[in-house]
Amino acid sequence: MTHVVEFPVWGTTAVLAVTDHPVEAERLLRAVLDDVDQACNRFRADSELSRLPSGRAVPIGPVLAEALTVALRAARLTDGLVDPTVGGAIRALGYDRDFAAIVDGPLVPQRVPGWHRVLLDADRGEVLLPHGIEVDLGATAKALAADRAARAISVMVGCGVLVSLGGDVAVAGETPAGGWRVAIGDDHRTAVADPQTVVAVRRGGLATSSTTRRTWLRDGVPQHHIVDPRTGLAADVVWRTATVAAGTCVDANTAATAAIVLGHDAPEWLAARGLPARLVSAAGAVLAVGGWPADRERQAA
Amino acid sequence: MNDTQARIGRRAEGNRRVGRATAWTAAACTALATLFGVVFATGTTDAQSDTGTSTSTGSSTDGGDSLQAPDSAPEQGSGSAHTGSGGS
Repeated sequence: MTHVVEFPVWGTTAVLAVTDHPVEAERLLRAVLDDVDQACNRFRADSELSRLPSGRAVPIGPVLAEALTVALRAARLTDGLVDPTVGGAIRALGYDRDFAAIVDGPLVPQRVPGWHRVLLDADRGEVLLPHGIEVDLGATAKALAADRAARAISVMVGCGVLVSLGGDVAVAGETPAGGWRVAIGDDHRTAVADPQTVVAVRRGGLATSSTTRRTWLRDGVPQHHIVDPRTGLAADVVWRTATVAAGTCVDANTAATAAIVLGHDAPEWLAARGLPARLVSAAGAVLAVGGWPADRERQAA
Repeated sequence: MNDTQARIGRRAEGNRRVGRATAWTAAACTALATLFGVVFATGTTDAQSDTGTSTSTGSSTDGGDSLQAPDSAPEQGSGSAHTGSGGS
């Protein structure tokens, strides 16, 4: 038997499924989320990330150090396709406040400074952000939180666990019969009730990046939240969703985001890295890559 | 020993010297090629691992030099799902 708990977090939904000890597991999940929120939430004025000064090296806590390490690794392994210094560009596109409060306005693209300019010494727990760099950890921090929580619950509570944060899924420990079943759709909130397909995962992570959610208008032009660091603009919509399975949720999320930015080059890029993926084109055609199961697929609406 | 035998002897000694020189040259080239190969390979490895930044992670969360593929691809699932993945 599995126990499932669901609650809102970071403008999206957290889902916790465990094979046992649901109360202890939820307490641990909330503790991990609080830690990551206090360190990495750019919408919180009192978060450690928001209070980072520019132009001088400053000490940082272990959670922010880990989040920055993970974000810079994602940038390095994607040749900058997933870049934490897109904060200014995202704000310039209008995503400068909690999503529900965004209003239309002029579109003034901003160049992405580049992840190489963030100087992190994780061993000493210090970071130096040059002037003019705004870090956005949104692409990796949520997935990192899912990985951390799943790992902690599995080890400390001693049960099988699935943690999903807005559709970024991490699993650890024993699995229920048939694996942890994840419904895939355009919207993680409606995917269970109206799945385009259902897959079973037993280890690691799975994540979906989408150009159909968190969209808004700027200068009357539709925008979405995945910025192409090469242009500073919202990535061209070749894929409406990219779902990737990987050894961790962070790597799944990193690859899914890179796939959206890569557009037509994504299938080859994913296959070269042995990453199973499900890509849905803007027109709704489904493309399975790298061993993703194609049976019983149906076309996305 | 007549002149003919002397010439044959000098020619044979010349051939031996040429052979020894050729062998030494080949050995030296092999050693240089090996050394160059090591240096080249080291340089290539360094270049591949150079992040272009002074970032020094040393963290257990660094996760290696490539995105980690799963142990196995997801399987087709059956029955009701535990959760959904999609846009958020």
